[in-house]
Amino acid sequence: MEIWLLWTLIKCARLPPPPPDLEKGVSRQRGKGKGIPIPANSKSSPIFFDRKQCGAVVNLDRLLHAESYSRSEATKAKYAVLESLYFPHDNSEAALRPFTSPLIAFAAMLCLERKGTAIYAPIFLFPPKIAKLQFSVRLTGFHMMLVDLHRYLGLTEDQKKTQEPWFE
Amino acid sequence: MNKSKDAAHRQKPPRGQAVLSNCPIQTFSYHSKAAKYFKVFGPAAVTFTGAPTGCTDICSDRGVSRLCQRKMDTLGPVPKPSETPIGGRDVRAVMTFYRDTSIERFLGDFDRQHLLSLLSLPFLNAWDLDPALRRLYNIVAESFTSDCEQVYNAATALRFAIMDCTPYVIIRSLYLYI
Repeated sequence: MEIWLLWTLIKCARLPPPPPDLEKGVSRQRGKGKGIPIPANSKSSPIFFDRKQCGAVVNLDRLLHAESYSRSEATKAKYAVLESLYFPHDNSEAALRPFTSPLIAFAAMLCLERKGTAIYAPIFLFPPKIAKLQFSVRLTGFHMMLVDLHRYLGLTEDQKKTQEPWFE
Repeated sequence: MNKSKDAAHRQKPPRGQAVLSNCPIQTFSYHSKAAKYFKVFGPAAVTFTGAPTGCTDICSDRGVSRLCQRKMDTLGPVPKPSETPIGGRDVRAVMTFYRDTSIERFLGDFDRQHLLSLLSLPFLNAWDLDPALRRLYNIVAESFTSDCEQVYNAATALRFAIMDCTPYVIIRSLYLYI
């Protein structure tokens, strides 16, 4: 699921940004005589990135395509993407308009049926996907906490493996 | 009196007409803590009168009727109206669902094939796999495994506080969640 999410984000970051009207939620007012009508079937990016998220995704894309590939740098970039995605600095916009959150937009895209004639997948298939995303969020949060704790305790690489008082 | 109540209870709404008024939609927000991010449009009473069949999407009548059927299977057979405690009405007939069409509206703004192409992920063992994707797969697999190992070794209280799961779930996640 993490690979799926990251690869989708990378592909979306290469696309032109979504229309500003769509980002402002004008499409919600379509049909009510308010705002500017948004043409349906847009082929722009369905995922809205803030500045930090966009920078992290572009950086990961650049590192993955670099000729002098560094696995450690790419791993750090991957964590940076997930942290900016799961724990954004400012979540107020997503609270007002949920689909401005990349994670929510990706989850909404997972509702689409990829085979057959049905538009949406059965709802019974969706909770496992949400569970995987939730597990990924928790795992990333745990990693963030661990990194901060190591930094706070000032542990070296060797000490990290041996001196971990909060571990059993 | 009872006869008229029974007759009223048995009376089905016109086929295809009661879709919106009685349509109970249960979105994925019900299953996750992300529910606070989703706007809902108020509760809708569920009536087990059966819904006309349709396509199998999250907001279709068929999906709704399957949800209702699962609820009924869980709760057992519906008793006769005269046996129910609340004025002849079955309390289970007014279970609360929420209708949320924001996903449809959001996805409707984009071309479906375009969205599916963005979601497509090549087979990871393909010989002509994009090298960048192969690298991404390697780093995600490696970091995911090491994170799971750290969580597995963490103190029980910490593991439950953060991950809310048992070591078995973490081991299983190595095979399923990556």
